[in-house]
Amino acid sequence: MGVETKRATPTTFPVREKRIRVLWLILPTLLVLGILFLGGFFFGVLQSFGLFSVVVDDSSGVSLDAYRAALASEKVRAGLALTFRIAVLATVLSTIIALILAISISRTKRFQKLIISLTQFNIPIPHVVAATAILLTFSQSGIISRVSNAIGLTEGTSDFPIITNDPSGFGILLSFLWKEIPFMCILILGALRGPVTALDETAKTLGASYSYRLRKVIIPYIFPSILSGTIIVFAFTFGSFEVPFILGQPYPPMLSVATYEFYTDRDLVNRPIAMALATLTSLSIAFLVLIYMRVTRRETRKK
Amino acid sequence: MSSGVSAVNIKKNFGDNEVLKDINLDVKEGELVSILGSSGCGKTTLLRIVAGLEYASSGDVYFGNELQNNISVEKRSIAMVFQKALLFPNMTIAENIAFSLRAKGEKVENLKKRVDEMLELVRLPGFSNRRPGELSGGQEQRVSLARSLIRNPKVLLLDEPLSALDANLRVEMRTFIREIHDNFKMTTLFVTHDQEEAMAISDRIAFMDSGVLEQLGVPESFVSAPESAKVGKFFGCKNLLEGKLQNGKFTIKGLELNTEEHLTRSRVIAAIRQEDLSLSEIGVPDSFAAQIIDWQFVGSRVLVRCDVIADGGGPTVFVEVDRFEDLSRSAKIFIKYSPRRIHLITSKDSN
Amino acid sequence: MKFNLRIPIIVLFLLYLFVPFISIIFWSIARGWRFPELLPTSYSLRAFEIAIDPSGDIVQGVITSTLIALVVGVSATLIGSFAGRAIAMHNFRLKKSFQFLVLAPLIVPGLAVTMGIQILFIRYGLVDTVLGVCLAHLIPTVPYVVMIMTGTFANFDRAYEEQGQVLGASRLTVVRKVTIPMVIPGLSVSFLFAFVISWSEYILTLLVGGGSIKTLPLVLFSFLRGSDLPLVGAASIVFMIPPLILLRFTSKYLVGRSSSMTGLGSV
Repeated sequence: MGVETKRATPTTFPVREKRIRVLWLILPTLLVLGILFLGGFFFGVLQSFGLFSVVVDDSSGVSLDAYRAALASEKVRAGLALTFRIAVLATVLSTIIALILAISISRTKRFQKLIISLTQFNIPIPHVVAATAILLTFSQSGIISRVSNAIGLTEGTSDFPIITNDPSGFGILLSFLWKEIPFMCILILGALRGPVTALDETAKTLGASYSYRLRKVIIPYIFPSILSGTIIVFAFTFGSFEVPFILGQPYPPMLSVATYEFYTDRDLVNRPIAMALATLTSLSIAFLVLIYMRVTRRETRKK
Repeated sequence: MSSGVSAVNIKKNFGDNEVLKDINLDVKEGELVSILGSSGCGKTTLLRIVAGLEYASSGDVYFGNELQNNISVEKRSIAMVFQKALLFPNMTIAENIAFSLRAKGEKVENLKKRVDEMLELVRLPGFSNRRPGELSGGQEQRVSLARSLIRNPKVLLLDEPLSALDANLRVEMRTFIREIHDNFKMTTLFVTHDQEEAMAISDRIAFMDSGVLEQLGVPESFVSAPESAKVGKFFGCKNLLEGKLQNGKFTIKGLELNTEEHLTRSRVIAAIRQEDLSLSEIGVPDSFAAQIIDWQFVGSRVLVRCDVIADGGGPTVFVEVDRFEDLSRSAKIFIKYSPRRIHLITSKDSN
Repeated sequence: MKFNLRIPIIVLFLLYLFVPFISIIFWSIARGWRFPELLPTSYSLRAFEIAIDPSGDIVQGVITSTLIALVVGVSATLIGSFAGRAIAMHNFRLKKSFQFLVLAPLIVPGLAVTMGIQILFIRYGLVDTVLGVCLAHLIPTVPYVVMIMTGTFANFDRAYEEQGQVLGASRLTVVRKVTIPMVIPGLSVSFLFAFVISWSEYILTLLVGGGSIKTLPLVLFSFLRGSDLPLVGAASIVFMIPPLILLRFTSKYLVGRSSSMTGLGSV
């Protein structure tokens, strides 16, 4: 790391040394992501085309059968719609709520430190635990149902709406929000503490009201942070497995769960379908993220 | 023990950009030399090459007779103070000052006395256990100096150490640095863009411009005998008149001045400092007629702009007078000069 | 936003965050808790007794998970910090492509990569081994570290390192005494993220570990298939404690004047 200090002759050019130095810095990451991540991903893609399969004779060459089978499946199509809906809802809702919260918290002077540490509290909580907690709280016999029963809002377990393991995926959404609102909120609070405060003060001295400053100074400034956050949240919720596995329903399944079911099916013929589905999921996310970045970049430039 | 510093034929390129063009600089043992120039002239690069933080594209650096080229930064017997104090925020003041000795493996317990001595020296006794954030800018820079001096380096390198401080503190600190230098008799290279600072502190000044060492000499020589118009201008000489020299008579646009030279040159620059001229009501020997255009205050003195009255149109000349002089616009006056104080630049700029 | 609206919003949000914790805690110590009862009718520490049984699944899971998460946390932080420094402080060819490679694992779902990796690992005998699981866990963790450390090094003034060097400290001493102490907030948050991601990882562990490397998430999942809710509650609590302990030491770096989260705000 850092400048190479020794040189063989007085006329050695340090430029080359610097190039080697950068290579050493990025090499470990390059190895991990190049071999493990790209390797794993492409191996999966190859299998989705019927190559390198464990069971099927792959001498027949590249085939799109797995993709055809995946797209023909009613379960997959319903799952895709559900997954898309939940991922978009989770992203939009967590962003909006987190933004409102972050602004509220940053404007609250009393107990601010306490509120922030409470908000941070569930950032490190594993998603598996989050899903479990939501299950124990919002199921028909969960705490909310009991409270609602006690105050006479509902009667018995079956009168309480099915929130977890429901076909609309509401429980999954609740669990995602439970994790992602604090994440976005901390991200935005971090951005709000940055150099924007000086800009905001300048705007204040120019006589701008808070709501005007919010629209014209603060939000445009923290917009890039929000943007990155939404991409992370969207990609995560779209591909997440644990939460739908605990809080989902057999039908329609979230895409990840459907993929897992194909993959672990006794009939190994279904494996390429799982690979095809995983490839399609990755492509969908990448495609949606790209469109999203295109649109938002243009929007930011307009401002 | 202190030692001299020699930079021999130093060249430095960043890509296609020639930052240093064949620099030769000899600093004698115990001498304080300022490297002066405006930003981008390469002065900091030169200092960083002497320190070993940067490598010359070609050329050699010697401390005394020892070639430094193959000696890495941390093994060179130097100490360098930067523009920012760069006190390590994770250490106390004492730990900061002891840094270089602890890096060599000395135990903290044995260093307490040395650290206290250094704090005494930079007039910050009792600051041992403070944290960097609690100090003012000037105090931080003094700690930084102490941290460098505790190494007892052969060469002290200062990279614009005062430019982040405010004006009054700067003057105080430069006097302080000079005192420290005189105490330790340590060879010192002091990079600055402030000519007043360089004049005040240095034994000699090395003036750089666009990667070239323009002039090296005692401070006074930059004022009375600039070797180029660039140097003259940088040191505030207002009258740099380009004209002809005929048997020791300098002429420009019909104005004729006597000099102490007896040469003939087709193109020569006369550097006449504004404070070496004076106004007079009547024509006396070694004076010429002019008309006052306007004037402005420069500190406690007044800089008067005059148009010389001569057949060839006459140049514009600046005269510095004291603030009690009676001035009126468009008044016809005489400007008196002294041939001895006309410095003729014949070499570098005359091609 | 009007003042009087702010407080209810925050309170409602905090309720949403903490009621689920309360249900977990109550379930973990409940003996009988039939439906209409608001609070358990009787309490017992049976679930925790099972949880702390040294030969039980939970203790074994904690040991395995801790080992893996520590190894992954340390190596991901190390690996990703180098790359973060390169991105923040150097320009090099194909830098954009490299940054893209770093972000890609955040976009591509873990499941997609894992299935390919499983086949790859089978070929090299890495399947069903702790080493294989640790390697697989580097994929989702290194990108977070790179992002956090890129943000950290972007705010780090290299002049401090030069100052260390001109004071006679070797490269290693400078890194140890100057650089690391100054980027410790970023390193801490990086370790927190890497540890927690590895600690929580289910599907990668399941597929690469082949079910024989039983980390805590696998144990919790097997409890969820049963109907012993107090045990689920106790396992969840055990599961939460190490991440929360880590948060305790790093929370000051999450939000603050030099928030280490800013790196995540620059996808």
